[in-house]
Amino acid sequence: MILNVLLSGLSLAAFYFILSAGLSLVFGIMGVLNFASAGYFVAGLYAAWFGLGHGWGILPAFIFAAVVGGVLALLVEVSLLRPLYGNVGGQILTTLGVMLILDEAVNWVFGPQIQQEQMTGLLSQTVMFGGMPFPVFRLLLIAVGVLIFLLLALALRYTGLGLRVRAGVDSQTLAELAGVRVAPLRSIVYALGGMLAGLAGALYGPFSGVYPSAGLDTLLLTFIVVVVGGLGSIPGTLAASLVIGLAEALVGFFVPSLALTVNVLVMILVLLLRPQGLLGKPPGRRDTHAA
Amino acid sequence: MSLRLSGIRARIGGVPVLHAVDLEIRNGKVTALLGRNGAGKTTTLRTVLGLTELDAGEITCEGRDLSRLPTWRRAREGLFYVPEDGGVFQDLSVQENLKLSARMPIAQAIEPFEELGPLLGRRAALLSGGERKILALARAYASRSEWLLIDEPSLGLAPTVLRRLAGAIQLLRGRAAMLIVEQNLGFAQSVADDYVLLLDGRTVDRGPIDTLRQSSQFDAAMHFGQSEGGSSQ
Ligand SMILES: Nc1ncnc2c1ncn2[C@@H]1O[C@H](COP(=O)(O)OP(=O)(O)OP(=O)(O)O)[C@@H](O)[C@H]1O
Ligand SMILES: [Mg+2]
Repeated sequence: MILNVLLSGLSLAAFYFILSAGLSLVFGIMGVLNFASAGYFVAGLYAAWFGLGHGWGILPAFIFAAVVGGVLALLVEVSLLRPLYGNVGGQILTTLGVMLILDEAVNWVFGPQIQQEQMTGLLSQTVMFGGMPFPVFRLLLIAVGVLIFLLLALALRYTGLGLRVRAGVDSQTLAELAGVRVAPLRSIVYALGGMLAGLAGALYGPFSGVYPSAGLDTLLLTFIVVVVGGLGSIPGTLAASLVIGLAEALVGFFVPSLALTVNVLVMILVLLLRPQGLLGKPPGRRDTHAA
Repeated sequence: MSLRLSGIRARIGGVPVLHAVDLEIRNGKVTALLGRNGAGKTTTLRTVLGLTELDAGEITCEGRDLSRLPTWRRAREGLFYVPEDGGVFQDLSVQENLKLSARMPIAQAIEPFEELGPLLGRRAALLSGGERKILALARAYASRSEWLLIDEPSLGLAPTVLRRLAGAIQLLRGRAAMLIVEQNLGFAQSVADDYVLLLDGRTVDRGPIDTLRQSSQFDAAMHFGQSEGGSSQ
């Protein structure tokens, strides 16, 4: 029983991590809270639904979702965000606009109704855990979450590209002074953020169905995870996802009426005790060498 | 082999800070850029790297104009800037800090800086002020940069660390031209070959460092309240 609850919490945590990791990295290197992430999320959700509806397997359909999110993000970064570099306010408004346009476009093309077929069926396969059925899809979700965390963490720590990205997150100006060209790093990280958001959208579908405002519905949650974890920190995002996912599952089990507010409570608690988030850097230590 | 600034003008937030900066640094020589607080020394270094925008004038490296290049290109052309706080990446380890700039194996890069050996895995934020300065110079060394611009290396360091730092600067001079901003005249005289005096955003005199005190501009440039313009404070 409790094992079931814990596994549910872990699968929630995996979903929150995939949903928020990109947003956190993008904030780290661009200083922009990326509302458009919710747009890539919806695009990925519909892309996976489209793929599954056309008889694709789950793997190609979900990869397609990530690719759609990533390509959209890359186009947005290069054409809309890059010219606004240095104008953080303008960039944030642009990402907000992109989110609204993508939501509206999906609404216009596919209609406002919730599409259940194809996606929710993915939850019907179960295995037995402690005498209770548990959806295989949730186990898959945990595996994907772990895999993405390992890939991100290892790439950031052990590759040259990862080192340059971390340098850019630490200080853009110092990175440029070390001969690192930061503009392409921003595009790469932003596209990666789009891919993760798209994949998260696909992973969300089986639980909620497919509908245009799905991105908006999860946006607040993403922000909560990123703020709790500490903006820009991948290990922080993981820690926050685990805390919030497990808290939500446990509280939901014992005190169902609090299930929906527990993440906000966690955020308030963390911000009171550690305003920079679980693993974020203290404020006032941002780019001191900038022009 | 020289890096030359001529007729540099620059402003910060619309306020003119540099009015006429002319200087040249040569390979194998250490030039001390001297002047009182607010004279524009830091701004001069930042302008050379493109961190402060140039209003007028030229920055040429062996005859090539660098002033239109973005900062990262200037860095790749061999300009290395060490800001007052050392400019190391706080969240990266000592080893990663070296690796980002290195054009030689890390083992070779730290040969002259053996005190960094046991610190390689440490996050730079946890280094002491002196260790951070040594790391900054080790990064400059590892990068094989030909033009080093160092802002107040002696700031806040104890005398023994100062001697260590002077040694590191001697090591670097063999392969680079250096421009060093200093408030500590004793330290400047111990490491520099030449001086350039900056007064209210203008270079007003230059010469061999041992003639510094004979400069007719020395008192005006180094002490408060004696400049004719007096508008910079
Ligand atoms: N960000 C800024 N905004 C406005 N004015 C600035 C800024 N930075 C520097 N200044 C002004 O530009 C002038 C030159 O500053 P700069 O830092 O180059 O002086 P400095 O010679 O390095 O002084 P110090 O010896 O105190 O480091 C000063 O009058 C300073 O007040
Ligand atoms: Mg200064």
